[in-house]
Amino acid sequence: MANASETKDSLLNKLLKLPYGELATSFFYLSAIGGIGIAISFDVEKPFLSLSSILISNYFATYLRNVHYWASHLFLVFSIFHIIKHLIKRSDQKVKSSIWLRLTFSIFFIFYVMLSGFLLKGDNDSLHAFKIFSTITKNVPLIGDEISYFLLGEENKFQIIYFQHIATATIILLFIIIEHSRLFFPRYDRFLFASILTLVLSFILTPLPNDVFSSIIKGPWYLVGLQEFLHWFSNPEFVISILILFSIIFYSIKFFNTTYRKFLEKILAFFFLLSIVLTCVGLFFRSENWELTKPSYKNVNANLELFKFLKPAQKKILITDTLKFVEGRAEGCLNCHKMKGLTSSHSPEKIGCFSCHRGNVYTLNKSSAHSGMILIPGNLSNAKLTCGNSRCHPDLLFRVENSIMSTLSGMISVDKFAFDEIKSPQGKFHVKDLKFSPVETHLRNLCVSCHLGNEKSEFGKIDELSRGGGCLACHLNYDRETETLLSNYKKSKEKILESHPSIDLKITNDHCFGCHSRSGRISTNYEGWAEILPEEIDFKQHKYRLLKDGRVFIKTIPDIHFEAGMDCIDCHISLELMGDGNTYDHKEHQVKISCENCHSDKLEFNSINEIDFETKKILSLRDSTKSIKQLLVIKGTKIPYTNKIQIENGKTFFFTKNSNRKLELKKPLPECTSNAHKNLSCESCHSSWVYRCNGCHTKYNPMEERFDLLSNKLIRGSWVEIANNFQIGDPTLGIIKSKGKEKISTFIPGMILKISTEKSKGIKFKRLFAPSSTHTIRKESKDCKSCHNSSIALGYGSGELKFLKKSQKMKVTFIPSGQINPIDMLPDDAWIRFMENSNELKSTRTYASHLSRDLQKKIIRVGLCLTCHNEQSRIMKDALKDFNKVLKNLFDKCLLPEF
Amino acid sequence: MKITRRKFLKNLSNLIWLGFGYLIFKSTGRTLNDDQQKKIKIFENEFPEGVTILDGYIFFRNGKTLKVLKSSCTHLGCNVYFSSDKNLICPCHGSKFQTDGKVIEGPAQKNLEEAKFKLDLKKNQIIVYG
Repeated sequence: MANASETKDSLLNKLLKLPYGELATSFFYLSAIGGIGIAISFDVEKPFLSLSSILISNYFATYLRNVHYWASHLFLVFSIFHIIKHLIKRSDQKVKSSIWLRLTFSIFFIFYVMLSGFLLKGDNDSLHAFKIFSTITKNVPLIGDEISYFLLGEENKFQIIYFQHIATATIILLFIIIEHSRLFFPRYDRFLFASILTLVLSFILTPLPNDVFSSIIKGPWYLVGLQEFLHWFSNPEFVISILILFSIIFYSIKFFNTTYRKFLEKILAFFFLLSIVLTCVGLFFRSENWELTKPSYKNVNANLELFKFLKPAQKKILITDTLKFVEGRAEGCLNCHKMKGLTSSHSPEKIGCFSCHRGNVYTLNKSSAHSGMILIPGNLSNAKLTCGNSRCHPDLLFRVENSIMSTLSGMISVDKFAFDEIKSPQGKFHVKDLKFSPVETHLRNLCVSCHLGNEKSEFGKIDELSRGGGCLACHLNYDRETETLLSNYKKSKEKILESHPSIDLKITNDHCFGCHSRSGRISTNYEGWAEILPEEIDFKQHKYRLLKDGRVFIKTIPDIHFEAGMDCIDCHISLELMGDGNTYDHKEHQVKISCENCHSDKLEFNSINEIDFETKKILSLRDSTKSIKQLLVIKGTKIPYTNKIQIENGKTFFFTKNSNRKLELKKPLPECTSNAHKNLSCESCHSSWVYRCNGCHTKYNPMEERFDLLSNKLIRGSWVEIANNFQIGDPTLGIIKSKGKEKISTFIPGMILKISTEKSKGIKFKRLFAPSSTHTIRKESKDCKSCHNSSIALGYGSGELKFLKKSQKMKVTFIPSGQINPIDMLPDDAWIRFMENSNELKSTRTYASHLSRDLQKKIIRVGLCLTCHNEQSRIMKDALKDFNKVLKNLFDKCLLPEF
Repeated sequence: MKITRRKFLKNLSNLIWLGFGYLIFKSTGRTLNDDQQKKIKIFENEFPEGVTILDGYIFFRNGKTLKVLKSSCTHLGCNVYFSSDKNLICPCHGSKFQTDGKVIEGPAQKNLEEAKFKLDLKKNQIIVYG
């Protein structure tokens, strides 16, 4: 027992005997020597610039900087140990009070010389630290402004700090050290120890400034505790008072006897421990914007390079090459990589390479420069560090992450509803939350590669097989030269790539094609391609197209907007595509445009002076600010289309974004805006064709191994889908409720399926139709009978409406044809029974349903008229305006229907 | 109490230190300097609708009305920038502000300071003071 306490004592005694003071002095001298070394190459007018240049091109100066850095930090640490040691030993009793006073001040000078050195780096952290300390010092009563100016100078002017750091603080500290230690120079063995430690450390570790794009702003580690303290108090005067109080306690400890002294010592110990705790919290628990997170070494924000001196510059860099500067500092990347191909908005001369690709800019050595690089920036996994970093597009990243193209909310909710996992197809879902329930596995196997969060892991252009890629999914463009150079590079990795794909606004239909040629197939619909089973193709008759994924399409009627030369982005604006920051259940909630914005008797415009920052930026990037005076807006809002508009002779012309084609915005005909059709969407009449397939067979095989499109690996237990023949036909009509109004629009068979599970004995059968924006618009509408006399349009499926005269009425019946489903005895492609009026949810939206019985009757009533009257006749045209009036003037021959 | 000559001279020499301190203090920052005295910044009056942060100031345009705020956080002066949820955030300690300057979250307690400015209609410029 005595031994234990003896060893404990002797350990403490041993620690107390160590010559911290002399070691601290040694480090002080070493730091001064290192400082002389960098002072020669340092340019006080452009500190960050000269520092970055030194780090890249002057290894000797860099080594001396390391010596300066490590020696100064060790000086601080050993000074603190020295102070603690002498407080424990009560050495303050042996010095004169005037010397003790100067020693108390020296604590301030030590921190000041360290801080001023940190501020001289001139990087982002330093500039913010300057602001903080400038504000604190300005809050000293009466003399605040002068103190601030004396110690720190003015913002972005480093001359005063530089001078105070290298002359005033150094000389004062040297004087105080010599005065109280009475040694001009420490003992040779202590100096040797300090030198060897410093020299070795300086060789191994090179501290680099933090990147300009980081939003973790932290001061030096020895002041991070203070930064944490400042987070809790909004009052800088309070901080100054605490610091002054500490100094008073420290000074007065000399003058108190043992009992009071012990109390003061405890207060000082408390200050010390508190600062350690605050430092640890500030270093490990605080990340961007000083947010509290789980402890992580990444939060420390230290940028240290190992063995920099063993990584010389690449031989090919000529001595005559000059350094390239970006964002106020040198960037090594640009000395090897002279990239062309990027547009002015992302020109490497302005933003460098680091801002997107990261890596290490402070070197000309290849492996060192490429460490930590992000080869394919723009993926949502790294977008926060690349496209969406705080200096560039953080607001856009927020919008894209919440956009339905990233969350796939509707896709998930509808699938879950179809398979009975949820009661109705609503709610906000996110693809990253998918686990492994039967539906979620179904989505993983078959659907969810099409989300923006999917990683682009290979170089190359966005093509038919591309899925995801974050920002790149839309904005990446390869020109021919870059594509060729890339394929050469892939074959032989020797040459350096000289052409870079461009990030721009030229979003073509090819970007959308990969994902949107699947499922609803709107990309292929729009271009006039209809899918067909390979075995059904007739090479003589059909013009066909083979997609890279092996699917076959034949040429059919395209959308008229495609024929006119319009791309997807000519209608679909960025506020829709990137989202507006809100999360939505279904895609139609995120869509903001509608046909009436362009095709209307009364268009709405915004003057160019009323536009917002983002629109202005887009216009200037498309080079159209000068020629535009006004912009077309979405009705009832100020949301503009960024296409150029011209009004000539009472006609409005609209220019496409990518090809600058001039198109007239035509007004709708009276038939469209007539009373009878006022609740119809444009698509109801103007869609030329849709898919009406209902034959896909989906089966779950628990032993089969298939690809999981979400985690990009094979999983066991998978869904397999077998396609049946694709049927093309007319759309079915149904009702969509939106903003309190009911509108009739186009629907297609969604899921007509029977589910059999092992658990349930019965078989569940569902007929679900889905609202569909067809994208097969033609100028000519379908003929009237194609809705009014069509069982397909009404939702009864394939068959015929029969009218049989029965006394003074026409009895209407429906005779189905084609395949009849044995479960409910309806045609395979039917939605509802004849005259059905069900409250059951039969569509993939809670706000969408089949035509009500009332509407079915009204439509067929007109259909009956059309069996005799030509649709172009005067009477039918009158019926459009006022059907009730026509009804009052019926001839005897005209019979009304009976259901 | 008698003061020895030595003590008196010693105190006098200490006073000289104080005297020098006073002179240095008084000389601090008083040289007439255009930049320092006026602290004016001139901007072209072509800011779009909404909020723009430029050069230490926040320009807030709503139709024809313009408001200019200093982008220094009212806690300790760091420059605020846009956070992803369209508010303004300070990177140093996380204080949050609305785009019109109202403080939402601490440690800052005051709203962003308004900057005095003048519109020069002839040259179509905004002159911001201080």
